[in-house]
Amino acid sequence: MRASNLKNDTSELERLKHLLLEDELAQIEALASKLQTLEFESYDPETIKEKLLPLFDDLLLQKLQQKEARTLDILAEYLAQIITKSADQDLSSLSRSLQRVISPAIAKEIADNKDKMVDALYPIMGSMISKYVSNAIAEMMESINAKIEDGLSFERYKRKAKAKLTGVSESELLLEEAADAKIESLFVIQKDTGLLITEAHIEEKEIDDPHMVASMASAIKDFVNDWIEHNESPSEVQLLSYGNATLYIESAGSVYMIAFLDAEPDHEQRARINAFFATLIRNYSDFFQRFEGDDRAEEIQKIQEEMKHFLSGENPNLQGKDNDTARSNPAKYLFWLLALLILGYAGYSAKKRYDLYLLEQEISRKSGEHVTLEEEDDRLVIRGDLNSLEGLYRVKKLLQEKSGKKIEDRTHLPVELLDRKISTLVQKQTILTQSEDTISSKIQEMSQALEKMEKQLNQLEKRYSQSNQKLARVKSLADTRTYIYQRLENALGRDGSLQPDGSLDFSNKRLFEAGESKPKTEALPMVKAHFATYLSVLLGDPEIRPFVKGFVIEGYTDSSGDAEDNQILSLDRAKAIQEALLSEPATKQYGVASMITAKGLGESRPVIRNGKEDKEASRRIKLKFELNDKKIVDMIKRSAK
Amino acid sequence: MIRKKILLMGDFHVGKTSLIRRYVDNSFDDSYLTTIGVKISKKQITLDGEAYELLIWDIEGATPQKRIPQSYFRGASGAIFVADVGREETIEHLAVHIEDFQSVNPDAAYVTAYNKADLLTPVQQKNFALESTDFLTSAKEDMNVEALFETLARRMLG
Repeated sequence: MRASNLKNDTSELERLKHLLLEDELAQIEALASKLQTLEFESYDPETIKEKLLPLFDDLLLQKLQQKEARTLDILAEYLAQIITKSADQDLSSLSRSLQRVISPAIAKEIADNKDKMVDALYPIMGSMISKYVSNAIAEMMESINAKIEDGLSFERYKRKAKAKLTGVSESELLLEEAADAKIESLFVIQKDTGLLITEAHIEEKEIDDPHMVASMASAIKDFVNDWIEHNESPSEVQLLSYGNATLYIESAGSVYMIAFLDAEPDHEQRARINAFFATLIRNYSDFFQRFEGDDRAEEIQKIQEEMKHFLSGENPNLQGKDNDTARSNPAKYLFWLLALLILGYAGYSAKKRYDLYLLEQEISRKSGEHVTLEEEDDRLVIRGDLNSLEGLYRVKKLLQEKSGKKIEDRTHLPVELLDRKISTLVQKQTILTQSEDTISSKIQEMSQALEKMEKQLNQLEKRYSQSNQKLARVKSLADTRTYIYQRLENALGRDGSLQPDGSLDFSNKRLFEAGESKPKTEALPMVKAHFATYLSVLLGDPEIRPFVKGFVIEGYTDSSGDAEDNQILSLDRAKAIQEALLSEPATKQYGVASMITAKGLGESRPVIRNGKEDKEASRRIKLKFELNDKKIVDMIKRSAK
Repeated sequence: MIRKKILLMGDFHVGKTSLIRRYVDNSFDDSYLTTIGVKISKKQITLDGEAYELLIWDIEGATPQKRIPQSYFRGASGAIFVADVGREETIEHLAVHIEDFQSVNPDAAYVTAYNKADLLTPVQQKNFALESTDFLTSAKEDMNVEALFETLARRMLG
């Protein structure tokens, strides 16, 4: 009973509590439920991520939009890793993602700055990104072309309409159109001058100022040809095209012909153009060669007629058809051609830059030096900060191996290295200066020694010269005496009187009796005759006469008797002969009386024959001549001068 | 009408294009000059009752980065070499330009323009040594521009 009452009481209490605290209880239940949810979520990471990530996304986006530095750093640090990882795991997905971002960016950059974009793409991007970019560019170009074709071409709408009206499919019409390009104009241009010789156009396709256009086209052709030649290609430009504009150029001899077409000509059409051009060359080659800019020549009219005829044959359906199309504008052609050239150049430059980039990478790997390479004309310029001089040598060696071009060094070396090099150079310079001083001192000493030797040499030369002079003098005297002897020998013969020294010794003539001073009468004529001949040789010869100083008659005795007496006797004998000779006509003829002297030499020189004295022979006289040596020497000196 | 090709040569910034602008009747846009290194202009003149048309090739100076095709020089009947009187080196380079031109056209006529003469005082102008084919010119003051072209034409066509 009590239990039943208690149960009722509790039930009543609960009812009362619900009645009194209904709102509070509801709040408690809600709180309890929330608490339970929170407790559950705090232990479930997926749920936490689900709740929190949107908050982080918002926060990250906000930070990126504000370009918050730390966020950008973190992003940069992990972005490369993320791309690499994604490339390994899901390449196609990454490709699509990157393409979405990169394509519009590239499209904008290309539109803004084509050259820079192409230059920048090759060296900076890796092969993977480069591939995506290539795809992106290709797709973009296709898209643009398609849009142009679909949206802007009046020809396209016309083709569609024609297809509907005629029942012929658009593709067939397209093929029909593609079969033959429309030749709008023909120019014949002199090759060297670029002067337009003549031109022809289809109706209403006249080109404004064709002479300017011809010159400009000629310049463009020259420019492209030069570019091709410079790149070692043997061919010559023949076709320039961009979009719907095509210039077909056929060159021969002194002229070339340009056909302005609305599409690229096919093989057959080219052949027809070439055949027509060949006809012109065949018929007018003389005129083309002598063309000097005068457009009044009658040939021009004829050529123009032929060109028009050819144009009408090539474009049979043109009557009334071209009124719809826009008037031909030469600037349009030239603009397209220039755009083509720019793109060509850009591609060529990018290729070269990429090759240089690869070379830079190889140098970096092999030498450890980071340099940048640039081509300037025929040189390869190296730039960058190097770590060492050895590094520079390595870089240069590698470049010489890889590239045959001339290398220009514009690199920088560290200041410390340069300081060390300068210090070494200063030391070397000091050593060199010291060596230089030593060498100077040695040179000075050697100079002094040389000077001394030169003085000695001068003295020696002087002595040598003096000796030579003396020798010459002696030789000359000897020569003079030899000459005199030969003359005397020729005149006197060999009767035994003439002596080697040029004197006459009368020892064989038995001149004197013993003790007598007067000569034998029969002997005197012979002495006089010899004397006359002697004088004629010595004084009759102008070569000898100036040098003859005088004549001496020497008297001799035999050894018998007293020597003193013999001395006197010998002088008497000499005087007796002198006297006899003074009266001779030859003495007077040559005026030599004062020049003849007598001398007694006694028994000093007896004549010895077979070991004993021939006394009769000893009693004799000798006739001698004396030379003026001083005169001879003076003569030699004068001759020497 | 007789047409002749003439060249205009000289260093950068010596005023070639200004001379052309002062003289010619019609020309292509300047952007062609920077692209292919030449700009074509034309001028019609009458000499002794005969009409002539000069096609003037304004040739950009070569640089290490840019080649100028030698074929541009071919077939020219005459040339005008231009130097800046204020820049000695451009006058010194005239000989090189003339040599380049004559190596291709040995018999062609030429005249020389010492341009920007408005920068010289009257005394300096008077003392400036000139041959009969030399002209002190100023595109700015229109000084001797007409005479320069006319003298070349007379030498070329006479």
